[in-house]
Amino acid sequence: MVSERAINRKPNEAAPSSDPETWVEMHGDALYRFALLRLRDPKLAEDAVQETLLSALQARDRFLGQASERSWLIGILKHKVIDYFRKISRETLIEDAALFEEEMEGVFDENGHWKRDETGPCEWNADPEILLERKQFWIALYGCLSKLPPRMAHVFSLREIDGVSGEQVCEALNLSASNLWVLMHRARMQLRQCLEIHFFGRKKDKQ
Amino acid sequence: MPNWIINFLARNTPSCKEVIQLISNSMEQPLSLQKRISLQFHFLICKWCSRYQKQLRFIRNILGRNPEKVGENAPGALSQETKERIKQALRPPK
Repeated sequence: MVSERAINRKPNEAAPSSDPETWVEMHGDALYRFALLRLRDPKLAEDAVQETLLSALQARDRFLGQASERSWLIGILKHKVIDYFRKISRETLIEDAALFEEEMEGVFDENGHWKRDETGPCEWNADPEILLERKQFWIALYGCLSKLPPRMAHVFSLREIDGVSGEQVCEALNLSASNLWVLMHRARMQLRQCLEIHFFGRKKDKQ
Repeated sequence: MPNWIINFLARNTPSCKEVIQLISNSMEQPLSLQKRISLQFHFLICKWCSRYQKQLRFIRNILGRNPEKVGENAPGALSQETKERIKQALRPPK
């Protein structure tokens, strides 16, 4: 059993212990959530956590403690997730596009303009410093990310959360630059709209 | 702003649908001068697209600076059973 303190340790404090079984207690849930957001499937996410810890076990000697144990493990997991997406490659692209079209129907008029205040973005009263501390905001954000079609969600998380460069994302996922731009555009548009409806308090006009 | 200018800009800048694709592209790669200018003119007559750009940048900044927060507040945890299974897998073979 691991003490409460050890579980609540901040991720940026390097952990003195590197006993693989305590990794499960200390980082297991964080790794799982990281994987679940990207892979969307609990079973796949569990497998990714297990594979990550097994790889970590083998590479333990190379962990020198410059990074925290948590970010070291997350780094390994990131690669596992990319490997998975590389394997399934293009299959989901078409499906994503259909889901997006459905979501965005009726946003623009016949000339491609917002229908004024009816569908145009509304003012967000957002002070970043305050939002940061609001748990509700992060829950809404997570919910909206989870609603993106899988491929879009993945590309978006790699770019905007994990800070991977566009070239690297294209290379890893076998996408052309213009594929990537379309996916990013759609992800941003859908995420923005979802946040506006579910957090910034806009009424959903259609329906 | 006089109406004729608004109408002129509305006819001579891209539609909102095109503008928001350009806004997103500009976050991937710098746009050509010509495209940057047409965006600026469009923003003069369209508060919705200006807001759109502001909000996209806001999302980028808040995520980029706090990547760990997204996962922290997410639902979902490994079940005790799964944890045991993973620990089992990590033990050296006997």
